[in-house]
Amino acid sequence: MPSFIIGIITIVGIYCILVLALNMRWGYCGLLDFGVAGFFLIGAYTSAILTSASSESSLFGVQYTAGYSFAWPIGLIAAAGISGFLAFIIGIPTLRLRGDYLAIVTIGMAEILRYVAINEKWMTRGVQGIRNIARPFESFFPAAGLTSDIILLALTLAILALFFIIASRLYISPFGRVLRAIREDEVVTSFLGKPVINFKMVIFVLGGIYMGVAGSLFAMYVTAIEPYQFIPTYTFLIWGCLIVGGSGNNWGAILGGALIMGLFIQGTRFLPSVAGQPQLIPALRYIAVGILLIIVLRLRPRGLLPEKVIRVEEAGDVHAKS
Amino acid sequence: MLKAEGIVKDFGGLRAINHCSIEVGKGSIVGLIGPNGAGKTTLFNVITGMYKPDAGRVVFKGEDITGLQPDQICQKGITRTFQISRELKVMTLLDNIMLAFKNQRGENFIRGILNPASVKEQETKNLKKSLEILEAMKLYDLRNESAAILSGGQRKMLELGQALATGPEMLLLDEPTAGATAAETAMVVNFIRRMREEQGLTLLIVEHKMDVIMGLCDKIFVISYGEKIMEGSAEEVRRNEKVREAYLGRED
Repeated sequence: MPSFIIGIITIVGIYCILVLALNMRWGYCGLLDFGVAGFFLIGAYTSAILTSASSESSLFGVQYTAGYSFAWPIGLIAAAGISGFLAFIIGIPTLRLRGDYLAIVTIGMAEILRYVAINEKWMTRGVQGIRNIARPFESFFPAAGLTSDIILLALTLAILALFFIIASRLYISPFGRVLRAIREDEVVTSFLGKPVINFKMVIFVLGGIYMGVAGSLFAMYVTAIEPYQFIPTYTFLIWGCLIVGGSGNNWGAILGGALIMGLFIQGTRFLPSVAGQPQLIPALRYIAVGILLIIVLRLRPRGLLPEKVIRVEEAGDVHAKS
Repeated sequence: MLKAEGIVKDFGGLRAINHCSIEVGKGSIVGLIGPNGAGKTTLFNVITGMYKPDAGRVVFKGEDITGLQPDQICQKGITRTFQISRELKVMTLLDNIMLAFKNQRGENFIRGILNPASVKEQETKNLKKSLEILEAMKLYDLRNESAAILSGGQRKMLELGQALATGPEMLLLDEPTAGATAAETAMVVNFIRRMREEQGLTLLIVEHKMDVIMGLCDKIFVISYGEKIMEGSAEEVRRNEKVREAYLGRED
């Protein structure tokens, strides 16, 4: 049971990193990103392929060879780098266009990547997926043990905390102020002398890095990845988390992630299955999330923890207030 | 200071601006008037980089700035405002002004995260200047409100303050008193005069309120159907037959 709870906190933490990343892109800057699952996939596969041992096993007549036996930190950093680079490449043609084009390109990109993962069997093992992905310090603490789970939980929470602090500091910085201005009116922001595309690119790449790291943690957490874990449903679940929690507010992002991913998706695993209807509860999960989304949008359209207006401290007040 | 030479801008088959040339001297206030649809705003858009002209060039302080991006043109020292105010409604008034300063160190994202003393120091300085601007705009008490609550005239003032915060050498104001009450209009007019006198700003103003234009401008360009029909002082414009025709039509 403790390992079950640790596992749930870990996976929710990983999804919260995705929600944070989406909050930076959409919540801060208004970038309509529907490719969360794609960046997540790239991170997971990059990390899994780099850290797995190369093998000569044959699967349906295809030699599976890719695998480089690197240490896990290299997998993690590479996942961040490749996912960030992917964001950069996608950003070049799309960030200068209207927002909806970014949405189309990112969702298309995510699906293309998933089909690449299904079909390029030499690298990804196709739908069989990559198994036995190494966890941190596996030679001392085997993957099935409680210690291994705790290590991964600690790593996830440490990264989540670091990412949260970075995101929050960015939000209130002059950099974040420009992002919020871009979200409202790109044209005005550019006429005020801000190179809008550069700002969008930085936050888009940073979001990609976050999502890539989340993917790498995910690969280490589940130790076996396959393309079905990266269907667009997850992109929209992450959107659901952000909208319910409160777009533009990092605490809202965490709350939404914990509520939807924790309570609704993971928490319902505790429910006893209905006799004769084993698929009933898993199917009801998504209905429940949909209902939650409708209720929140009806009653609190800006989310459970709405974005706060920043009030600059009165440090440089020219008036001596009596 | 600013020279636009032989500007041509077509939208499909429509020639919005036809070989139009204007020149604005340093420290002067120049008006741009003409009937609706004459191409005044289009000319602004060409000068400030929103549109690329099909022919002609824009020269600012002896440098060819034709076809630069809006942000680059702002960096060169030309800031514009919009006919319909485009203040950032979700942000507070203070944030609106703070945004506009140039060369903010904290806009580099690494420094934004680390927030070193150099950024803090600059922010404090900009905050002080912002509050002074808001004070001058009579918007000080609303500084922490979101800009959505402002009246039409207040929006114009906020936009003017925002433009001023960019530290421009030249301001292009597109109908700075549209939607303002008579009192607010007087305030804007006063403010424009003060900006020229105290900071030596050069201004190019599009305006439909003739008393505003006539009272403020050293020189006025009149354009109609994308062509300059005359230039001269307020008195000359008032007496000109062609101008009357452009606005009121010909008597047959």
